[in-house]
Amino acid sequence: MTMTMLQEKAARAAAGPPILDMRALEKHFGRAQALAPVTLNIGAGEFVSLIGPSGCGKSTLLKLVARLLEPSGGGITWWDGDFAQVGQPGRRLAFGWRQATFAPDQTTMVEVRFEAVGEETRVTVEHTGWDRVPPVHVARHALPDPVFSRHLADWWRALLASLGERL
Amino acid sequence: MTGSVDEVARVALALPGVVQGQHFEVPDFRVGGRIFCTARRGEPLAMVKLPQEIQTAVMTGHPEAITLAAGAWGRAGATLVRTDLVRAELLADLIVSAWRHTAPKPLLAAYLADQERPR
Repeated sequence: MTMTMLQEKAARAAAGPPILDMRALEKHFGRAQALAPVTLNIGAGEFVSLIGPSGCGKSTLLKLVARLLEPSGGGITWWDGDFAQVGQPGRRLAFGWRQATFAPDQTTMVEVRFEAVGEETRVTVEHTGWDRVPPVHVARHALPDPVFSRHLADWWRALLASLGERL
Repeated sequence: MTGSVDEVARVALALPGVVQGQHFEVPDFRVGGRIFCTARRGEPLAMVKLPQEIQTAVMTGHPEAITLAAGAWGRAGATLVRTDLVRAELLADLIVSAWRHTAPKPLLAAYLADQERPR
């Protein structure tokens, strides 16, 4: 630990209790583990990023902090007290959930595959990257419009949902 | 076959601000005018409205009992629970979680303050 880090830690200790203090905080729904035990404290002035793959519990942890979920185990304090501390002068918590947004002229590159499966034609649409020249319209007339549109709409919604949920 | 109405109602109606309604013959439970769970008469099936990450977790942990509702309803949070295949504690946790995510902020704040009051 460098002197700067020690000084910062000392400064934080002098600044008062941690804003958030989680001890083995966890959440499960029956057999489903939504968050494995997490011990973490966050002091005044600290900037902390939670990084992990989709489904590892980042959103669940934030919702436990906001008390939108009840913990299954462990504990959490806010400014060294219970949740009533939140909202007191100088003790506010705010959450901003990311929404999927696109630049007005942004387009996407997709790969469309057509496969014969019995008497049906299976359409697979995959996102392959961002580009200003989307090839979608090239394949658009290869199938009756309602079929193509349905698959494209499903894929597009899935992409938007995944972007919107990524914190 | 018994339905899920009584067991869902027992948990849902104990929460603040909840009123029981009905749409298309399906009993529903609302807070602030918004539906957060439904039940079925004659069928052990309930719907709880959950955020996507919780949907994913509970469906992974209980694939035999918890599924996504079809189409746009499922994407909007509608999660189907076979009430005869899950423990009462899990069903109650799902209903309360759905309520917390749906309730108006002042109502939720009052509920949480009451939960922490020494008894």
